[in-house]
Amino acid sequence: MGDASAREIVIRTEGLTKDFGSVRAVDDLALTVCRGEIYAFLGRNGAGKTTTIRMMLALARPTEGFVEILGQRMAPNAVRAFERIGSMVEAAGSYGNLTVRENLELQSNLLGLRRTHWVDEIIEMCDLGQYLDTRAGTLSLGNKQRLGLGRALLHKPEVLILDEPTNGLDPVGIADIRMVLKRLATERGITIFLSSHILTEVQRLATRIGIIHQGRLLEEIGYDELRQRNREYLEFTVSDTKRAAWALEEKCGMRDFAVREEGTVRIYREFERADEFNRALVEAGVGISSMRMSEENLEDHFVKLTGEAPDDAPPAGRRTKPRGWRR
Amino acid sequence: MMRALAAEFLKLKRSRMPLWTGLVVLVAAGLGLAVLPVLSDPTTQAKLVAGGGAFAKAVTAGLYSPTWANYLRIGTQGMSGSWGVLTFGLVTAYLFGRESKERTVSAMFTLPLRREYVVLAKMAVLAVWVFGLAMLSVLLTMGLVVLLGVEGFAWSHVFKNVGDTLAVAGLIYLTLPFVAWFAALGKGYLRPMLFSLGMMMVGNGLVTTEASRWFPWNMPVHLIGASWLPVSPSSLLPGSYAVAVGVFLAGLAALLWQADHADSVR
Repeated sequence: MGDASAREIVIRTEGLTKDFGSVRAVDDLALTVCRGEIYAFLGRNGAGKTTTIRMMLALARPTEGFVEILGQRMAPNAVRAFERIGSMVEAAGSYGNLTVRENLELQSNLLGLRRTHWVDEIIEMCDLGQYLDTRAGTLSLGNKQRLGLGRALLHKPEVLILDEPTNGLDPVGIADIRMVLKRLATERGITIFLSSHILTEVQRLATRIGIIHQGRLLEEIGYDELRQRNREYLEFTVSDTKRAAWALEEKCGMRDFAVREEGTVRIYREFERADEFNRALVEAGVGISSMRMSEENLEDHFVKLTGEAPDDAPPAGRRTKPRGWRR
Repeated sequence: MMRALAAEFLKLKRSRMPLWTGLVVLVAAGLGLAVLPVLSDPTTQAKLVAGGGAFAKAVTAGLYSPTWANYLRIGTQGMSGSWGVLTFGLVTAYLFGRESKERTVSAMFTLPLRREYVVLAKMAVLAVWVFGLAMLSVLLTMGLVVLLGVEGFAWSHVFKNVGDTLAVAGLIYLTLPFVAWFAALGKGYLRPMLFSLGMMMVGNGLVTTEASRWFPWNMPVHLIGASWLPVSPSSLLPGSYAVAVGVFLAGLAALLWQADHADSVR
């Protein structure tokens, strides 16, 4: 979050709340997305992702709070803002009785654009070339998503807001879209806000992740922090972290470790030397109350935060990476 | 506005709906005209006269004689009394409900385009469609009359009928923003069609009462008259037109408000 204050904020919500009758779908949501970021909005189905996106795009009226995109308060007819925003909500919004080409033409007409090299580039980027004369209604869900993405990109938006963009895509399709989005962010500096319930996807794509659960934003995590969290580590809970650090450095020559505030030291490599580290700490007079091998990934983190498994997680009995001691 | 208009016509280009509504008009025109040969039969006419009432008056006035003027008028009366309200209601439901039904309205409303322009462009397309179908009904009626070998063709009959048909279609058009509003509210076709059907039924119930001339959905019938009801042509009052225009403006205002205030548009 400290990072956000230094960089240009492109999307900002404050106190964003949405009630549907007595059900609170989104609760006091405050998030910021900075220029050039790929921000993934992660949550289970029904967590409030789509409602938030609808409020961002002025398709739903907030019960309380507001959304600002590129400095403009979002409301119906925020034409100036929409000139700089591309979006794709749910089923991608293409006209089923028109061909892919006609859908792109229609969008170009509505945007007042002429056919340019950029349109050809979009067709290639979204891999739509072979479907140009196919009616959109007959396309697979994945190809509809590609068409939706293509339409959203036509006016070269600065901000792209996508609701479940990889929904219905096969693994290859997901990888393709991921590549396209990464390319758009790096080559064109487009800020991307996307929602997803697929952890693995988010993990590979996002530079920041916001976790929403039951309408509340539980946490925002930066990519670096996430990467840090994804690293395996050997954790000692010790009586004196300073002394433990000294022992690891001086006696074991270990530099890749981190001292944590809560009296723990995490070592990130050479786990086979666990006994040696243990001995060195004891010899240095450091009390060790526990030692454990751990690997926390986003899924673990998600479960810890929400108390529930994400939608795409394998059932508990099929977990492939047990937590705690593994070696 | 022009961009929205061009887009609306492009959407219509590949739609089969104009074809289907054209077929509805063909069937309606055919059914309407099939009545006249039956009614013009001397035995039937004698029975109708004996029965008295509106039918007897119509027979006496020569409204059931198989002439060009009568055939053309019956065609327009059919549009004013039944199929016009329902078919134009269907067209309206399609134009305004389809975007929600096919979940394209979200994409439409997140474009850098004022929502009012989208609504007005659709109203313009609706006008073209409605008046196009009205003219198609005149053409189809003429074609069927030629096939029936009715004699006594005169352009004056055709011109009068074109004028009457456009006026009837115009009066129906004035009621359509409310149908469109129901389509926008209901996010589909069911509510607007039920509304059209309901208004037609209410109109049928009112048709013999004084209030009928003030009820916008009945005004087309009062403009053209009905050969089978005690409704004479041109029986509208100047105030009736003001009511019709008022209903149009109120419906349009509701529709524009709905577009701007729609919550959780699909």
